[in-house]
This record gives sequence, structure tokens and C-alpha cells, in this order.
Amino acid sequence: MGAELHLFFAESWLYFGYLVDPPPPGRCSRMPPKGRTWQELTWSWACTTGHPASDQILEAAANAAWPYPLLCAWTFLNDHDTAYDLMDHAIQNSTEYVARHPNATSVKVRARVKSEIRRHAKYQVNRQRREYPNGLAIDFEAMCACQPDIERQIYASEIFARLSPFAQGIVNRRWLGYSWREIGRELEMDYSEVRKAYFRELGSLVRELAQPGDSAKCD
Amino acid sequence: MRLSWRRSSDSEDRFEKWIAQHHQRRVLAGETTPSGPCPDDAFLRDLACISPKIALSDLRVDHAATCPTCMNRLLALREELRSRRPD
Repeated sequence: MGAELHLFFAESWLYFGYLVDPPPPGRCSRMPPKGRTWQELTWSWACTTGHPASDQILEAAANAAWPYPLLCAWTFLNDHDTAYDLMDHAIQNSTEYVARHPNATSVKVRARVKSEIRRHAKYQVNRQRREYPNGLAIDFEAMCACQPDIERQIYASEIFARLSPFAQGIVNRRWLGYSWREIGRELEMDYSEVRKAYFRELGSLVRELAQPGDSAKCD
Repeated sequence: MRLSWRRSSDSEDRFEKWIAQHHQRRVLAGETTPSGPCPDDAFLRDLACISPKIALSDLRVDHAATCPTCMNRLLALREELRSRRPD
């Protein structure tokens, strides 16, 4: 599934790959960054276990898991930047795990990294208690009630231009007829969380476009 | 103040339908940029009937949903499938 998720979010990686910040200091020593591509930058977060063989397993797990924190940050936290914090946390935690279990297989380490990413994202949600008002229904009804068709098309074009790669991927799959449950299963996420995040993003775009002063606003 | 999520299913369903219509219009008007080559007809046929053989993460899925040629073919295949169904 990791490889499939890789493919699914290929564009998203490229989109976010250049945004990597240096990691906060941790208990483990840092591996030196190896280059400019997203994979290498991702590993620049990672810690070293002190054993080359374990480092290799951890590196592979970190590379394979990278799209997942982006997805979790979008789904649970509505904040792309937290993906790097989630990855940092998961790598630190997994480094300790590998140190305790030097014979852990790459599959296990990868599962550990992803599980930690998801767990930490949920923890952050609960801690922050950030929930968002959903004005989608009102805003959408208002938009449809009073706009001529050409203006609604402009709204639609604006919405599509601003959609995140995740949301765009969901638009594609929904158009093809896939259910939320199937989409959630493929993303290894609770489908209701994915659906909620998708509508949250659409709702905030509709609200942005309906702001007073917007040229497409209904008089 | 803590605001809780309230699902407004009807509006969301209408909004999703609206998004799907505009997505289709944009793709058929050539306003999107599909990546990669067009998949073969067998793949599109499987996609049209949402076959479990197809992994959602397959890059051809995104291509088919954003390419005017593939979308036209998918619409024709959907119509074909619909016409075959007993009333």
C-alpha cells in the first residue's frame, strides 16, 4: 500500500518537497542531507540508530512513508505545515523502536512510522481541539441562488484553481464513481475523516470567494 | 467557543454534484492537463464499471479523470453499461 500511496500522491510530494525546514534538535544525531530531491530531504530529518543496517531500514521506511504525513496533516489538522512535525515525531519514535528491536523487518518499521504519524496527528487534534464551523450549506445555497450561470462557472474555475492536490484527487475519484469508503480504504484513513476534510476545504474556498469585495460576489 | 461538525448531507450532495458537473465541463473543454499516456480501452472499461481490479492509486485513474479523450470514452462506456441494465 505504501508504494500505491506513493503513486497516488506523486504530485503532492513534488508540490511540498521543497518546503522542508531543518528539524528540531533531538536525542539522536542527524544524518546529513544528501541532496535536493524530496526523498533525500525527507531523510535529512531522520536520526541515525548507530547501525548502518538499521539506518538503511529506517531510511527506506521514512522514504516510503513520506506522503502519509501530508495526508494526515490535511485530513486531521487542516494544516500542511504540520506534516513535517508529524514526520519528525514518527522518525524519532521509530529510531527508538529500531534501537530496541534491531531485527525488525522493513515492513514492521514502515508500519510503525505510519502508525506513529497517524497517532500523533490524532493526538494533536485532540490537544488543540480545533474544530471548524461548516458554512458550506449556507454559502453554497447563497452562491447558487443568486448567481447567473456564467458567474457560477467563474466560481467553479476559482475553486478548481485553488484546490489542494488531495482534494483534486478526490474530485477525480468521486467523478469516476468511487465511494467515500473506497477512497478512505485506499488512503488508509477513516472515510468520514477524509470526507470531512474534503468538504472543509471546499467550504473554506466557497467562503473565501464569497468575501465582501470579491469581484464575483452577488449583489 | 467550540463548534461541532454538523453534516448537512443534502447540501453536500448537491455541492458535490455541482463540482462533478463543473469538473466534467472543464475536462471536456480541455482546461485540464492530464499526465501520462492514455490507458487502453480495457482499462477504461474496467474503470467505467468500477472494477475491483483497478487500484485507486493507479496513475491512469487520475489521467482518465482529467483527459478529454478518456472522459468521452468513459461517458460512452457508462451509457453502454446503463443501457445493458434491465429496467
